Amino acid sequence: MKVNSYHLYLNCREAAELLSLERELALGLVTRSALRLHLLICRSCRRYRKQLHWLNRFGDHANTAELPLEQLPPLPEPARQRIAAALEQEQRHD
Amino acid sequence: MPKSDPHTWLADHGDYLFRYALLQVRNDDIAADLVQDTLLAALRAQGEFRGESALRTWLTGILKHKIIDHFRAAQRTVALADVLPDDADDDAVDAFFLADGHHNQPPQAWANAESALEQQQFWAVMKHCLGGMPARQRQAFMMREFHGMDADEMCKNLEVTSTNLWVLLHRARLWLRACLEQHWFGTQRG
Repeated sequence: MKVNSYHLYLNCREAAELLSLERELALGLVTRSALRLHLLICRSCRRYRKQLHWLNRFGDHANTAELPLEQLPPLPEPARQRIAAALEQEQRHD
Repeated sequence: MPKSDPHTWLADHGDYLFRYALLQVRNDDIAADLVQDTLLAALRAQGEFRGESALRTWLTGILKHKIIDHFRAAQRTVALADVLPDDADDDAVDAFFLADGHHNQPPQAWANAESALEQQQFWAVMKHCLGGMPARQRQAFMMREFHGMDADEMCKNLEVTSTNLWVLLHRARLWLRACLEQHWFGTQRG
């Protein structure tokens, strides 16, 4: 990642790098302008930016809501028994 | 508020906690260990549960801390050879772009992006996509986006430079958006 060596005309690869980077830090004025210029003319990168934003909101949502995870595999039975035994032992110690 | 009976915790919430962990870590064994650590910690701390939040929310909160601790430990034990070069202009990113810098698979408009999170099938796809990522990328992405840690905090915790962290996050985002588009959003119609 080059971070400081962008020029005015970015390609998509450079724009994608900056779209990710701008979520972590404030870009400089020149870099920001170059990115804005690229986004004006590039629908793919506008979509990419939108999707990065979606990934961020996905995280916020997943952090607060109960997730519908029913299609993931359940706790395997041997593990369940092992955990039950560990809990039992812990409670006896009380 | 009736007092919660720890004997029912495993039966009532074990599957959910396991699935929540499994979404984020490498395999069943690690996920099951995290569930055990969570329930033991909950048992010791049950006096702190006030019933203001649902029991599941409380348990999930404990599990989140366990997962983050696991990520920290995992990132610290990574071999030096795995540490990224600072200016990685590499294969991992090459795959997503053509030689002239254009997107290899140009991002498409995502239909029904808002409602995806409420669908069971979507989370199976999400697990598939997260699971396909290299471990360090996945861990960095989960800490940043899923657990909402900021980059400074993560650099301190992970003992990586901020540039390396940015590279990890960049690759993770490229990968995940492409995978979700291929397996979910690109196939949704209407």
